[in-house]
Amino acid sequence: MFNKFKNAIGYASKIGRILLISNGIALALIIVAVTFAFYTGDYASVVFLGLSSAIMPISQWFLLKHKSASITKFEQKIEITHEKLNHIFNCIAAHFESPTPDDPNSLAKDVEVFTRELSESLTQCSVTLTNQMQALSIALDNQENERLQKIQDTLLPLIKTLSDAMKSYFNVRDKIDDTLRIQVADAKEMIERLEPEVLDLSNRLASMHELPLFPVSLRQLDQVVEVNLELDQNIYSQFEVIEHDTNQNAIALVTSMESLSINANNLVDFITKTIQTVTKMNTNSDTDVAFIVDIGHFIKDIPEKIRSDIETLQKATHVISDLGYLVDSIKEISFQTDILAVNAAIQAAHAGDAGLGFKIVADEVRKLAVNSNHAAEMIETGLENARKTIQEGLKFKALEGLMEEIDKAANVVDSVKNLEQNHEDMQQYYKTLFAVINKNNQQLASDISEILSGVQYQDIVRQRIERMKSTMSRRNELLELFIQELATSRGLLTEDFVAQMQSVLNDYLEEELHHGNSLSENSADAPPKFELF
Amino acid sequence: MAKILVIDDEEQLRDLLKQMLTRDGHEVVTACDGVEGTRCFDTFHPDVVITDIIMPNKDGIEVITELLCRDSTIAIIAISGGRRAITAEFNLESAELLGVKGILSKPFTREQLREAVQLALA
Repeated sequence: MFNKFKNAIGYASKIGRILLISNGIALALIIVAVTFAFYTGDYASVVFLGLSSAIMPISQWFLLKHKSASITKFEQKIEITHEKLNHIFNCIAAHFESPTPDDPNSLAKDVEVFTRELSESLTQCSVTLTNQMQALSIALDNQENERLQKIQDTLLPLIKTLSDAMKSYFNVRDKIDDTLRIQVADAKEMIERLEPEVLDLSNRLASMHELPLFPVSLRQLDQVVEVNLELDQNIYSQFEVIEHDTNQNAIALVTSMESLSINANNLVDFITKTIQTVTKMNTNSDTDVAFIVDIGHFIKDIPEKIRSDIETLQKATHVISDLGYLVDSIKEISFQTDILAVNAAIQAAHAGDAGLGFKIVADEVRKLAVNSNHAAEMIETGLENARKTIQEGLKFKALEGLMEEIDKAANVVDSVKNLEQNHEDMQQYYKTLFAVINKNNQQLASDISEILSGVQYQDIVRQRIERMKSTMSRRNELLELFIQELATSRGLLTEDFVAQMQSVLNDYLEEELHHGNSLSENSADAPPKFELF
Repeated sequence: MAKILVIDDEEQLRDLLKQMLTRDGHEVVTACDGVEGTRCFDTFHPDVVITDIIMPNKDGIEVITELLCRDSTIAIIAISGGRRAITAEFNLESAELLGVKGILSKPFTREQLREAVQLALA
């Protein structure tokens, strides 16, 4: 607001003056040039006129530039004044926000310096402002004086307000200075009062470290407590190690058990399926073997059967041959009957009429003999045919048996081939089966080994806890002794007690170092590794 | 592009596999049985091994076991069509339990082969 107002004043006064002067000069020159040209008719007057017209804007530009620089300088001074005022207000605000400054005197000095600078700036501003006002009053005519009066009426309250603000500020600053001085004085007094007491307490505390407290000094007590604390920290660390290892071990155990379960189930499923295939292959083999066994029995029985058949047929042939003797007997009987009939016929002829009847009988007997012979020949022919038929039958039977044997033998070859293939398949099958089972067994063995390692860890934990227990027991014994010595005040406890306590700690650390620490050997997420017994 | 070793005693299938895989941009070497296959493995150093299971001289189970013993991270794809009483399912399940990365039951399509190779290389 102030800046705008200031700019308005500057421009109003300076531009009015510049326009007035330059336009007056230009008008005069033009009148002179025109008059001169009218009376003389010389063109030089025109040149003069042009020059005079050029001088007017140049002079206006020069004056504007000069006044602009003056206004800028005035603005800068006002800006600096504002910045200093802001800084002082900030310092005051910071002072109230921080009621116990480290050095109150320095703040007071800052306030004083800035106040002085502000005062000087304000004075300079006032002088500049007054000069400007006076210049304006001299330069402007009556009409402009009226406008200037308005400006002055506006500016004067502003200056008054500014002056009041400065007075208020000086009052506040004085009050702050007084308060600060009082506070600093109080603080100094308090420090001076407490200083001997603090010094006394410091001296007493220093002397207490060397003051004997019955058998032990405070320094020894400190050492005992420090050693015990270190021991406790180590045992706590070991507990953390055990907790970490146990946690990782439990996770590893669960993982191994899951892997073991999956592998075992896969293997069981696989073997269950393979049993069906094996059963099928066994069935095929059994069928082939049974067929071959049947063929074997059959082949084995063939010679016996053939022998039996031959014997039977031979017997039949013998029987037929025996029947041939009967034919011969019949033929002989027929021949003898025929001879008898011939003789009877001769005798009947000798007997004449008396022998007619006997002749008839003799003829009939002869016919009987002829018929008998004929029958005997027919029987012989039939027997011969039967014998020939049997012999031919024997030949056919043997051939037929051979063919069957060949057929059977051909089937046996196929069966044997099937058996061979089946055997080959079974070899391949069991080879595959054993490869899979072997691979899975290795995996199972690995899983079981990891599980056993995990179980083994429980023993490691037990050993660690036993070592801790032993150490704590030793420590407690020493502490009991320490308490007894304190009670009896015999003064037996010396630096040796601290050394003994340190020895307990060192023994424990050495023993743990000897047994190793899984945390130092493995990554934080890896399960603990232990060798099996 | 990957280096692939194909082991199969069936010449026709072997050549077909080589043709398909070469067309997909892979470098392929073939072997007729497990003995030749393991020899090629030492010289060729493949990224993926595709092996049949039932083969003369040295079968696929032996090849898988031996190669996985040498390098447990090697990507192996087992292929099988079975033989008489030994089914493809049994062979491939066995191979899976031995630790192969992929299985293919014969006959299989080109897309199935491509997918199995991509999975094995992943």
